[in-house]
Amino acid sequence: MSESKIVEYITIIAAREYKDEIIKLLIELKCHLINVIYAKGSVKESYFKDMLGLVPEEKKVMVSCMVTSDVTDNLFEQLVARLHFNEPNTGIAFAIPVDRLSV
Amino acid sequence: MNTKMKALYIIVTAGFAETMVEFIRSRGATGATIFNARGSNPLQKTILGISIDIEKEIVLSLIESELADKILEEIKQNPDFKSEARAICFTLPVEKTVGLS
Repeated sequence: MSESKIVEYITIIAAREYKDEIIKLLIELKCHLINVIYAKGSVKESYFKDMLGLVPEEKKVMVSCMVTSDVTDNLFEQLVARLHFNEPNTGIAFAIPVDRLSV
Repeated sequence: MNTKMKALYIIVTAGFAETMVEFIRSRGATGATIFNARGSNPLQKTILGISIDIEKEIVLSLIESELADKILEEIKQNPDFKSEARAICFTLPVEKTVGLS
């Protein structure tokens, strides 16, 4: 990675069934340091569903990687196009700026 | 894409993540992700060559910036999270997001 480019730490959280597709996409976009962690998620539900214990607690996968900031927008667009991240309860992704990096 | 968000990371002793999720949800967080980790410290014990690790859980939630700061402060002040749960929390600035409808 060139030192002049801004590096971002990407975290993608989605259902485990999307794991292979996400990793394939990250490899295609030449993302670095891809790391996969199994996680579980819980989202806010309506009061009655809460009372009935129907709070969705799904098995999730959390994939993290490092990319240059110019790749981030393309990656997020691909997540929307291929995995429909624009629809609710599919997945989320976010980018955190990396201050320093030793390569 | 939203830039007024923060990623709130809360590290707690294993078993306290659900309580923490309930707490942050009661304060306005919409969802959270929990994953397992293990703690390490200089006083870590080793018995017969087997190290005894401290099991930890990490709660990650994407929260609107001001609310994240408020929750962080409340966790800091809450004595329940200081003793057994040994909660450590920090926030990171989020530059870009996707999937938050």
